[in-house]
Order: sequence, then C-alpha cells, then structure tokens
Amino acid sequence: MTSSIPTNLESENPAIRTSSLAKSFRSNRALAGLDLTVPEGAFYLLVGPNGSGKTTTMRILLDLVRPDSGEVEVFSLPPGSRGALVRAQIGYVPEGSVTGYEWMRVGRLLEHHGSYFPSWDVKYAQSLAEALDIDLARRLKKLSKGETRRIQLVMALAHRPPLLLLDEPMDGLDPLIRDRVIEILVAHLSETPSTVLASTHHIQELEKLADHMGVLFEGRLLSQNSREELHRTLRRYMLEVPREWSGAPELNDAIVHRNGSGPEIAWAVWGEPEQVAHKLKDSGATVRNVTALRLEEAALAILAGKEAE
Amino acid sequence: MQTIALRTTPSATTLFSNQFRVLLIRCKWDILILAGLMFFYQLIALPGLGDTAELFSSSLFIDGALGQPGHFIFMFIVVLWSARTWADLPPGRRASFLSYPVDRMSHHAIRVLAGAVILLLVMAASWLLGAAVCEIAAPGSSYFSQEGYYGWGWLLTLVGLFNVYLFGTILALMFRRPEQWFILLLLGLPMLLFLLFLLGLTRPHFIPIVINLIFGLPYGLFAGFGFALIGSDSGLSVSLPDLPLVLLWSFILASGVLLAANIRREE
Amino acid sequence: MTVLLHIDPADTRPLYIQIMDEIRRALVVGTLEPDAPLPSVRQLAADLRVNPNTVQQAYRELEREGLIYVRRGQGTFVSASARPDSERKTISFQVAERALRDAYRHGLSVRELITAIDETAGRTTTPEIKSEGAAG
Repeated sequence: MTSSIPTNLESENPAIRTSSLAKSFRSNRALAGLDLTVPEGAFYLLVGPNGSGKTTTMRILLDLVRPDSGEVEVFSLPPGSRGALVRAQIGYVPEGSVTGYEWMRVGRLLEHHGSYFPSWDVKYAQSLAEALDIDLARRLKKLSKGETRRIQLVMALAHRPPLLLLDEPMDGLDPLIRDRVIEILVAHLSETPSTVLASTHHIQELEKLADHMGVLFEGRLLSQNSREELHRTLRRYMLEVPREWSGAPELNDAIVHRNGSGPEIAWAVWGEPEQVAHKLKDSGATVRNVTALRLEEAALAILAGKEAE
Repeated sequence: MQTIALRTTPSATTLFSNQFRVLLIRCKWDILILAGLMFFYQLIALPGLGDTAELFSSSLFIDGALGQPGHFIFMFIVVLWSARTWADLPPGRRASFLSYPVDRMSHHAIRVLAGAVILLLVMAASWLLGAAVCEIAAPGSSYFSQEGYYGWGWLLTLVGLFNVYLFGTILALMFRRPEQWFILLLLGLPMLLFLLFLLGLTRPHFIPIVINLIFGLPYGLFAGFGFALIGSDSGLSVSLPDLPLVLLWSFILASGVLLAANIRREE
Repeated sequence: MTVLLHIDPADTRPLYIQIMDEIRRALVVGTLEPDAPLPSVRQLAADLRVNPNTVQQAYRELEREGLIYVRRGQGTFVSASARPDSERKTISFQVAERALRDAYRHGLSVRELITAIDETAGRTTTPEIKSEGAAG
C-alpha cells in the first residue's frame, strides 16, 4: 500500500527547495531523494524518527555537508557555491551543544558571534539572554547542556535572520524554559517576519506555531502539506463494520493508518471527507464519527501507517 | 528571483580583527611564554656563557650556528604556536566555526594569518628588546653586532619560520596532536632510514639521497624552513638555502593549508 | 481589561477558528462588549502561544464578517454593531452539533438526546447548569 498523501508543495520563490536530495554516510543512507519545499514565511515542522535525516538536511542547507546528488536552493541560492551568503541569511540552532569556543565567557561569545552579522541587535541579544536566564559572565564549558542550548537560541535569533533552522530546539530544556522559548519565538515572529524550519520530537509544543508539516522517514518525505490541507483532507473515521467485511478496496491507496480489526475500527484516510464517508458507507461500514487530526496525531498516523507496511 | 533583501557577509577587516582578538585572548599565556622564551634566548648571547651561547642562542641570524639545537627548539616552539592557534577547534569539532557566514577557506586563512601576524609581532618585539638589553649590558654581545651576521639573511630566517608555522598549521588542521606528529616526522624519518640501513634494505649511500630529498637542497622541506641538511658519504652538513626556494615552499605550504581547510569530515 | 481566551489542546478545529469562536463566546457571555478593544495580534499570539499569522487570520475573518474592525494606529475593536444575539445563535448551533456528534458516536438518536438534555437540566446538581435550567 502506498499512501497517496501529497508530498509536493506548490510555492513560488520558496525559501528552501530541494530536489531528489541524496546523501549517504558510509553504509548509512541518510537522505534517499528528498523533495523539500518550504514556502517563504512558513513555519515548517519537520517530523520524523531518529535517523530519518532531519539533521543531515539542515547541514546540507548550511553547506556543512555536501550532498551526493540532487539539487538544493536557499532563497534561490545554492549552498554548495554560495555557502557564505546562504549562511548569512540563516539563524541556526544545532542539536547538541556548541562545539569549539568552550573557553569563552558567554558575553564574549555573543559579542564574537554578533560581529559576523551586520544586523546583530545588541539590545535584543541582551533581552533574550535575560529572558532565558543566561549568565553572561560564565564560561561556556561550565554550563549545562540546557544552558548552552539557550545560548544557541539567542545567537540564532538576535540578528533577526530571514530564515531560522531549529534542530530539536526543545531538546535538553526543562518544561518551564520550553514554555519561555515558545513565548520568545512567538514574540520574535511578531516582530520579524521569518521563515522557520524546525525539526522536533516535541511536536505537541511546536505544533501550535506550525503552518506546514513534513513527515520524514528513512530519508524521504512521506507527506508534505500545509496545515490547512492536512486538516481538510486527512480525517480519522471511526467505523462499525459487519463480521465478514471485505474492506473498502476503492480507498486502499488513500488509507494512511488502520487501527483495530472489527467490529470497531478507526481508519485515518486521505481525501475529501464527504467522498470518503460515502465510499465507506457504500462498502457496508457504518461511519460513527469523523474527526480531524491534530498535527501530532497526523504525524503519528502517517508514521505508524508506514511502519506497519 | 528573490523577494527578500539578502543579508551581507562580514568584511575581511572585521573577520581579521575578530580572529586576532580571539587568538590574543585565548592564547595570551602562550604569547607571553613565546615572547619570554625568545627574549631569554637573546640573553644567552651575553658573555660569560661561552660555548653554550653558540649552542643555544637564537642564532638564527648567524651563519655559523645554523642547525644547532637552538634552531630546532625554535622551530618546535613555532609548531607549538601554530598548534595553539587551532587548539580550541580540533578536527571534527569545527562545526560552529564552519557555520559562520564566511567562505570556508577564507575563514581558515584569516585565522592562520592572524596567528602569523601575532607570531611576527612577538618575535620582532622580543628579539629587538633582547638585542637591546644585550647591547646595553655588554656592548658587542648581541648578535646584530657579531661576526657572521649577514645583512638580509634575517628575512630568509623569518620566511623560513613562517613556513614552519604553515607546516604546523597543516598538521593542526589535520590531526589532534600536531606537535606529536611533527616530532614523529623529525625523528621518525631518520630513524626509519637508520632501521632500513641496519636491516640491510638500503645501500649506505641511499640514506644521504633520501635525506637530501626531504631535508636538504635543492628542494627539501627543511630547506623551506630556512636551512638545509645536506647528506653525503662523509656525513651531514648544514647550509643556507636561497630565498626563492624558501618562497617557493611558502607557496606550496600555503596551498597545503587551504587544502587541509577544505577537507570535509563529519563534524 | 483582560479577556481570557482559551485554546483547547485536544480540539481539532483549526486554530484560527477556535480563536474566532472564543471571541464570539466572549461577546455572547458579555466579557467583550461592542466597541471594546481586542488584544493586539502580538499580545494574543503570545498569550495563546500560537503563530501570530494565525491570530492575524482570525482577525481578518472576523473583520470580514463585520464582527470587528481595525482602527489604524489604535488597534482592533469589537464592532459597535456586533450583536451578541446573532452570535448566540451561531454558537448554539456549534454546541448542538458537538453534542449531536457525540450522541451519534454513542449510538443515541436525536430524540434520546433532547429528552436527556431536558431531564438533566431539570435534575442536575451542577450549580452552574442548575441555575440556568431553573431560569430557562
């Protein structure tokens, strides 16, 4: 069964576009043909299990890693040949902590970092550091993982870049700080129109900010849609089916995830709800309830459906 | 066709002053020790220390003391300095350095340049100061006034040491313990040759040939460092290379630095 | 003035619709009056922890419906002509639909639901509903 969830996003002048991007590390195939499209101004949530290629994707966008094949453009610039210019448009929060510069004091690191970006806002950096309880006088190597991640966020936001790449931004942060980070992101988006590509396990927290979602699995996108499209066309159908039910073969390609074996089953199906409900009824099932899915539920259904294959 | 106004990358002067400051702050103790050592070496030239002076003085300017232990010590100190300039960014942990809006090679080159400028300033300052102290304490003892001191030869020495710095930088960009690799090459190669000789795998006159190739004239690496070891059937001798040769090595080693900067490894 | 708008994390309606409905609710309940100011896009987004574009969308839709208006430089306000009564109707239908859907999921008929509602309102001990049931 191949799901027919669309993976093509139409967008003129997207902030990010990749085409058949592939990358392998020794025997590990990190990306196997990625067609990512992030429209300008979007908050795009990249969701997927560990090792699905989220970090590799971001590194390729930054020209930290060269792809084996395929094309990639950030604001119509290829990172491979215009790496420095591409990186000047990006605020990057890497997963893990800062590498290098561990001997520096935080304040000095921010100053050093800021000198690379003409649009660095010193006041903003200070207020962000304050909001995140960062002590500017301490040395980087003395900080916990959570503290260094907060600093990385300040470094990424303070020059108000047009594109934010956030790799697991919530990782290593305690719940109170996570909430504050969301607050900060919202305030930032209010002041600075930005495009955001965020990868995360904490879908729940970031999903209220997202208006696009791509589900990555083993280096390829299983789905890539705007939130609106997902909401409109991916629904969970609670069904009651008769004993010898032969299923709904017409819908086979559109079924994303099946749950249960009867008489009560729940299917996540892609398609216009009225048409799908109609086809289900025609097949002999009783449709008890149709619900839309939250982004997290949608992602889980898509992933679970794939893993069940 | 892009709708947003693109941000610009930082200027070269900004980058240079950046790296300069970073190195100054991070390596301030190393700089002080470096300056101290160089200054100290001038003082050895003071009378009363006799033959030791010739042996250990920073007699890089003096023809007769080429190839003395002091010279090797200085080379090693320069290698240590080049290692220090990259100590906070060892291979495999340079991701943040590479994430900046600067072209990869340029970013590396600017740091290398900043380190070279610091080295030059420290050398010049401590040498001049040391020489001045020597002259004041015992007129005629500083090597600027000694026999065998040759006019523009100091340029050769300087460029030679710069080449040592570049070589050390290449090692630092590629390995975690560049100073160990330098020792390995310095001692290891001759030892390997000697071993081969002992095992009868090479003819005796093969060794001088290899030594000449690597260390001697006309193209040996050490010639690029400012003095050449010449092997012959009767033994080793030391000689001065020509400036063009040393400059050629500068070009080769600088290219090597850029190449080493471009090697992509998983960070 | 604080109006507490609440986004239910379990609700699967689009976020901007939830915001619109919450504003409607506040109007019907009386915590928002005609000509009252609404929080700025930035403020509301921060409070609800949602993308400012979402709030923007909600405000745009409400403006299109005529429920709110924007005075340049001064902010967003509830329309003077906003009638809580007409919004009442919209809301009541929404609540009814939710209830009917729930009923159907449990296999209940419309009739059964209506009877149950009447009886429950009559004999419930939940204070908020009881007072309402007694009055209505």
